Amino acid sequence: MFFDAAEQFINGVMYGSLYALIGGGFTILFGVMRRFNMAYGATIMAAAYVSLVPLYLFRAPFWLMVLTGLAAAILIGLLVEFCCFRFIKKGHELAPLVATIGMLIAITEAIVHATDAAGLKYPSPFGDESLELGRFLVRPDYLAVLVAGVLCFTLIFLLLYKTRLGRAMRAVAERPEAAQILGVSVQRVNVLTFVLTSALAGVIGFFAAVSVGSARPDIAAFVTGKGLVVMVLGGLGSLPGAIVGGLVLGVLEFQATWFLGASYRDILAFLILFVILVFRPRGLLGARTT
Amino acid sequence: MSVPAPASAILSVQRLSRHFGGLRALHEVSLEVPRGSVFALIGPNGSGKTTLFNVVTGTLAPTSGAVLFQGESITGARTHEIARRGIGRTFQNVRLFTRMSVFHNVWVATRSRDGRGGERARVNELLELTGLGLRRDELVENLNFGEQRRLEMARALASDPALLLLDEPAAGMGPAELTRLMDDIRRLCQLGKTIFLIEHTMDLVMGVADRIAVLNFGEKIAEGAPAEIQANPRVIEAYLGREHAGA
Repeated sequence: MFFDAAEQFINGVMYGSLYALIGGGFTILFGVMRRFNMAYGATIMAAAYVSLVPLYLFRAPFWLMVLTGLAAAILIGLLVEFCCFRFIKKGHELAPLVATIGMLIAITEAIVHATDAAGLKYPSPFGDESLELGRFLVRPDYLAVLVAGVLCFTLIFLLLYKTRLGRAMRAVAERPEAAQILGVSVQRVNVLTFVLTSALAGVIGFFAAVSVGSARPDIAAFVTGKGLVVMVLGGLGSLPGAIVGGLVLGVLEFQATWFLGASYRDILAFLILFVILVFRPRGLLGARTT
Repeated sequence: MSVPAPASAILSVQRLSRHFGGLRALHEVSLEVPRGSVFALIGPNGSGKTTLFNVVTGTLAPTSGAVLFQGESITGARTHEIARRGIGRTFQNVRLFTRMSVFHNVWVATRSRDGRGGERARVNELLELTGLGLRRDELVENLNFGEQRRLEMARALASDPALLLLDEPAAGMGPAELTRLMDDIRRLCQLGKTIFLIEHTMDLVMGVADRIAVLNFGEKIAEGAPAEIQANPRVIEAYLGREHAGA
């Protein structure tokens, strides 16, 4: 019993880092622009599909698949920025939100038409053999997600706190009008924020498809649901909150799957969301005031 | 239609108007800020002073008229471009980055390309200049109000602007802080900066300004040396009289 719980805890942390990455992508964009990008899940899903192209064409190694997905995600992200944010961000607050929902549908439809709605098998480059970690058995692709999560967040924090772009992003996130007066181009920061979060979407798309075993249109809905729950759970706009929220969600889901059954997994995510909204609306690590 | 500004003016505002619907927040305002001077803009609340700053810095587009900075038009240019040309600004209600330390608030604004070492030295120099050297690692929320205002000034100076706009720099300050602010402004002038400020505190305006313009209901009603402004009957009627009666 305890052993099972511990093993599921480890699985939960590993898979939770995928949730943390998803929440992180939503959060960075929300933090800088104060807007939701509902097309983010579709960007991730489309990137997973496109990353299969080099594999089908010439049996490309997996790092080339990741790079292809990354490039595709960045292109899609720039398209979303151009269509849904650049020209209407100063209008009604909800206008970009609705526009990105439209984009979510458009991208999903485009993929469905291009692939006859069939899921495409997505081979895991990490093998199917479970790894022995002491007494515990872990899935290699889950372990890879954990490594990728640590790596991505390290890079993101280095970018945010050690680079010129990072400090401009933090300045725009807190006070765009003051950042502008100091010579920061808010539009340029917005575009680069899209490039950054979309690159992350490419990585997420790869790992999401690997863990599911196929590239499927419903990855978009899966990612959107988890991303929003993680964002609210951790605290809107808080990047450490997204990490903690993702890990907490992962751990709780795996415990629920093991002890209650797989069908309770998604119910649990939204039950947690409900409880958080009622008892701690600012989330686990959210700021008290904006 | 824009008239060439005299070479001595660093900032030239030409028949500038900004209307909000039927409200004429600024109407045909012209003024010249001489290079190396302290130029004060005064006027009752709602007379359009901050609107003028917002148009000069590109936060608001003018309805008509032109703004020239160092002889070139910056009318309708974007805020960050205007900032990069060399106009710094502080806000009436201090707008610091509260999630960053004192040091990082200034560091954010440095734009030199001389590497991190050079930037750090510059930030420390500015913090010393504004008397915040010992507070460099403090969070902004732990600073008192006067310190926050000085920090905002240090931040505005980080990119080495030729012209500094100060929006009510003395608001909420006690007498000791006010004296210090006046010293700071004079020192910046000696360093070659031009200061364009909005202020209600007459001790400060009369103490440091070389030249004063007066706005009332969006129109310029007077301009001149401090002594001339104090003696101008229109100004006394519109502004000084009431202000002094209230004080």
